[in-house]
Amino acid sequence: MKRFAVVTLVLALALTTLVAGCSTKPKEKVLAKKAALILSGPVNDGGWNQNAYEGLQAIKDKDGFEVAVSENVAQADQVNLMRNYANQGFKYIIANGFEYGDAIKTVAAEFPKVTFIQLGGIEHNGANANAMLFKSGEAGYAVGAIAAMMTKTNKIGWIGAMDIPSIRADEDNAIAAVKVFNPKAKVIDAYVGSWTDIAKGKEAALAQIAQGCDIIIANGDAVNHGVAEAVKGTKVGFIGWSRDQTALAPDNFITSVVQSGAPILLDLVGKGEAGQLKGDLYVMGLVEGAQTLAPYGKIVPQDIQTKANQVLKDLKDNKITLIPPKGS
Amino acid sequence: MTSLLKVLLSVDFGYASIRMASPLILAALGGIFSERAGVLSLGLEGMMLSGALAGFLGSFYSGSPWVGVVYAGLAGGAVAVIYAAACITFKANQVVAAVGLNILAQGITGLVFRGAFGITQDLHQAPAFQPVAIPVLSKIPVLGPMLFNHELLVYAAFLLLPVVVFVLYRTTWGLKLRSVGENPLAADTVGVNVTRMRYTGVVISGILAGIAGSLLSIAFINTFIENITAGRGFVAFAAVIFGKWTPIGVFLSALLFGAADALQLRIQALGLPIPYQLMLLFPYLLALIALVFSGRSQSPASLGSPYDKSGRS
Repeated sequence: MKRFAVVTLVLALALTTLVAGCSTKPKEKVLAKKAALILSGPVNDGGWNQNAYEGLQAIKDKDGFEVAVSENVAQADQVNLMRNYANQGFKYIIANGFEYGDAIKTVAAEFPKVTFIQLGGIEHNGANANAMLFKSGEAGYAVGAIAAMMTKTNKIGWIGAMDIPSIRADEDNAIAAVKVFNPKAKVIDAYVGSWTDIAKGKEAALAQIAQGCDIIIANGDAVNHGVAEAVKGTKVGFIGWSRDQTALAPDNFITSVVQSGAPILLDLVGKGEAGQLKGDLYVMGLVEGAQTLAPYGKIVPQDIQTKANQVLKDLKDNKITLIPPKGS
Repeated sequence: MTSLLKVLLSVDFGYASIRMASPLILAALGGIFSERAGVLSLGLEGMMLSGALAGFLGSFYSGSPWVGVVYAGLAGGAVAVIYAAACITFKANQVVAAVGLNILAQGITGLVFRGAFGITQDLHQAPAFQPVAIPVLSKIPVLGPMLFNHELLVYAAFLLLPVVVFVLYRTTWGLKLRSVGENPLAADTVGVNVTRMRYTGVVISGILAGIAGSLLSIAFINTFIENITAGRGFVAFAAVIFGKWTPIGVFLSALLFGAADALQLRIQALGLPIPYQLMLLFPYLLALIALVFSGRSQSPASLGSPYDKSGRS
């Protein structure tokens, strides 16, 4: 009697599983309206990661997404983290930076229904992995031109956080612009080797000032805070990156490259919801409003502002040949 | 090459070396107290980071950087108590405890900073120490601007050296501290309270590391950012070993690391065609070479092992 009960139970269970399996099989599993953002640094770095975070907030507020953020993710954890999010039913996995390319390649193949978006990268597969790249170099060219027109000592400092292809491309183009607008001027560069070491950013700037630089272009997220700290109280001009950094050093501020996460993510996720994200590479820049220059500081003379605006216009009209990123 | 020489002899380079070395000096000299008592000072990074945040918050809310320094010392000391409890009372593996402590400090400082300021605003600045020129001395050519025009905490870092030498080698307390690091059983036998000495050593190192952290957030840069210490605690730890646990050796190696860092930034600024990665690793390369040629190194005999009265440790 007991055996009979067990056998019946097992059969019944097997049958229901089979039926349930049949009934769900033809249907696509509907993914929840959830988006995850993966960052290599903290969300409040005042730059690159904060921009992406604000983009995520925008799709949460405007598109009603449920969102999750992973910060300070180490290279070795990228793949597993993406798998975790994919297994949890996240519809979009957004990775912020060039360094996520390999991880996306691996995980996107494992989860064909999940949409991957790499910001600031190139990993796209014609299916579910999409990449957005800031039009490398155009911002570098623009600030290089302005710095070349502003410098009096003919020495311009460039401070980068890490030597990655996108930053290097901006530097290459800044140097190209300097050659055009002020052939006598020279660009001196320094890389700090960290996204958060603001004390070293300050020291790097002080070293450049000691070498006679009177304009410093800082492309280093939080490191820019240190650079701004070094120029305060001097006559050295400051050009920032990622956001409007007027407040960092108002008396030295020339301009800064503003990259905004919100329009980019709203655009891309909007496309995704409309079924238009098909694994492409989207290059966005001045024309798309993905990056622009902050309002000029008070130390920038009117005639230079006019010329700078002309440079921006030429860049938008594709009249200037830019140097492409190397090694990408 | 001549431009390189010019840099090496410049006032700016000397000034920057001292400035960049001083947080390392403070933290590393503190580390001696912990290591000499027999407890690894691998947790300096976490203690420095906590001090950097506490110093910033103290200065921000009170309006005085001095309050910040007190907070920084307290925070570093408090974190050190946690570490000491794990290592001494609970006899945990010190490397594991230190790594855990560093991760904990990174998480907590981030959490507290965001709790206080949120993540929307861009810049938060606190009242900071300004460089103080010492009368007469700062007028000496070359040496004056190089040595005698710093923030008060920088002078404190340098004045700490003779204090540490005196305390460690000329006082009974110093002898007891060193003895518990060398042979805790023997020290215990003659009536030294091993547990208390070790706690004290670790807490002193925590207080100094905390103040070293505040040098970053309220003297050189008057703001805080997550992970502002960026590995300086580990460099300080390396300086303790490299300096062979003697105050003068540790002081000099911290100074060397600071100078090497200042130099690599200046070489980058010269625009020499040397890959910047090579320049970044320059301080560590220098340390490695020096270690290879500096002969046998004697660490405190019972460094890293907990003391068990029953003798089965």
